[in-house]
Amino acid sequence: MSRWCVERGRAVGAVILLSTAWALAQAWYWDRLEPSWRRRTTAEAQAVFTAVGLTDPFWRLTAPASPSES
Amino acid sequence: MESLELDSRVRLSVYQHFVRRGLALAVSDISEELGASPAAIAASLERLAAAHVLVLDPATRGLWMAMPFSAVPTAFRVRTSAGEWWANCAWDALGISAMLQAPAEIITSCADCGDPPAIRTTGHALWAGSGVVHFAVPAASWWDDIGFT
Repeated sequence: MSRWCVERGRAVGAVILLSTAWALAQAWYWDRLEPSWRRRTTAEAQAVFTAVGLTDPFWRLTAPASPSES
Repeated sequence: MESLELDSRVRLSVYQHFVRRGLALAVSDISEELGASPAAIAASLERLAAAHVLVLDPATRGLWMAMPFSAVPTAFRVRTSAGEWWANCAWDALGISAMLQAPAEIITSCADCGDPPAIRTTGHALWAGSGVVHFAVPAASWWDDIGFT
């Protein structure tokens, strides 16, 4: 994948298995047609990523607080 | 009609139309269906876009994405016994099957070798297919340019 990105001048992002992508698709979209659906909060969206094993910093939805902000 | 109630009905109308017809509704169609003025519908779509519920074309302000559906052709086509849809990306292609809980075939090509991968789902599980999916942009930056993630 790194070679593929370099050859195309693209930054290397995150690579996940198709099976993980399916788990993510299910967890993310299962309720989208519900009339009561609402957009997830950042914390809820992060929890979905975590639940399917996407815990790498690439999947973090908010930047970590700098020492001066903590 | 309160804005929140209208926005909810507009969102649902957009999705139901995508499911039934595989196409995006125009403002005039939604206006007629919901009995609200075109201006009210256009304003509702803008609110939904600002809330990242839908994505509008930057130039025309017509519907571009109602994730996982795409209103324009993409490299990801999803076929079920009930119809066919364009998806915004590999994640969304799988998402259409998961959302509809319908057995689906994902029609796309491998970004490396160009071969069509045989990806099929049962609607509840991945039935056939292997490989990987590449996400180019970190999650925190997706909405900087939702057209390229």
